[in-house]
Amino acid sequence: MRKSNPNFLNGVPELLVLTFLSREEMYGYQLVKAVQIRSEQALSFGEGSIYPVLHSLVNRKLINSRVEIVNGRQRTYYKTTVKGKKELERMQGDWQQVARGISKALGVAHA
Amino acid sequence: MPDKSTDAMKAYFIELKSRMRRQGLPVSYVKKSSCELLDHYQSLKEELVQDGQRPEQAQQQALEQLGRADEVASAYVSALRQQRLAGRYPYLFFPVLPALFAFAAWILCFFISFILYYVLNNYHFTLPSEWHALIPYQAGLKWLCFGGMAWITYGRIYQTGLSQRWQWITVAFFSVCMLLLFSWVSPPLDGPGSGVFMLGWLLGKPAYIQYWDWIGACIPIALYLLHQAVVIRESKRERILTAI
Repeated sequence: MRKSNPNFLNGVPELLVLTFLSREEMYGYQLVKAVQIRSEQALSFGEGSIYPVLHSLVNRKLINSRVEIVNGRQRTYYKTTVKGKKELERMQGDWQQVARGISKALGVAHA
Repeated sequence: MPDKSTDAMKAYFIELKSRMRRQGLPVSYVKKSSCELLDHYQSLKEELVQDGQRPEQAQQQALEQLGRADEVASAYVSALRQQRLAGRYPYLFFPVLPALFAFAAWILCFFISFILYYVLNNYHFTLPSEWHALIPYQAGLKWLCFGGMAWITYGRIYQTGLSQRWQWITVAFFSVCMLLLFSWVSPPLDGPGSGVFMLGWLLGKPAYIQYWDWIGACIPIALYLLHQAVVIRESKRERILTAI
């Protein structure tokens, strides 16, 4: 069974979700695969946990959703809204600041 | 011969739904989320089969990748709680919201009573005689309003994540609020004012609360028990279905 590290990843799932969904419309499974491929499997989490994050972002109107029937299965697609893109910019700025700070504290070069 | 991996999949989803329901997530949300997770599970399984795994292995691994049912349910519950006022401020919920709901019930009752009072005093000749026989029972109206608001309040209690003990304190507090509010400031058609007696009690004089009010004050407790019974029954039924 995979172990997740929810405390360390606090706020990161939202950042990743907004980033990927700002590029293209995706459904949950597609999004998880994209995160795994782009992070080179560095991030591991229970894949089912991505959906509460998505629903929470929909509730905050940072992403919107639409339902489609694909091969007889109900599938929900998500995409970042204009408000979500603004929030993403803010989150990316915060993240870079934190990453720089941690890099300095650890004495390693920040990319 | 039953397929063990299919049984495992069914058991997983039933446990997930059961856990979500027991923690107060709305039925429609649980259904919608289960559909989405099921689609994810099937996509995962198909990919694993395409990668060369046997279907039974693929099913098992797809469930593992989805995450443990209790972890996934917790993620849903905490995400939903964060979206609700009651979930973000559980200890504010305890004193403020029950009092507000109690007050809302009183306002509702006041308006209904006022309309009834107006209609019965101005248009009584147009009403069938049976209606007049119901007048003494209109005192129950306030407890009907009260019961409705209590039911709404208990729907919110689960979203707070408060312990069982605090939930009971909230229920008791709600009862006290209603008893005070309805006894102290009675709506216009409430008969020879229990409100006066309650006010007297507050001022240190002998108290008298109408028997209606004592019975009515038990409504929230009964409703809370019923609310819990409904949720527990649903989750038990789902567990029995798993066993079958």
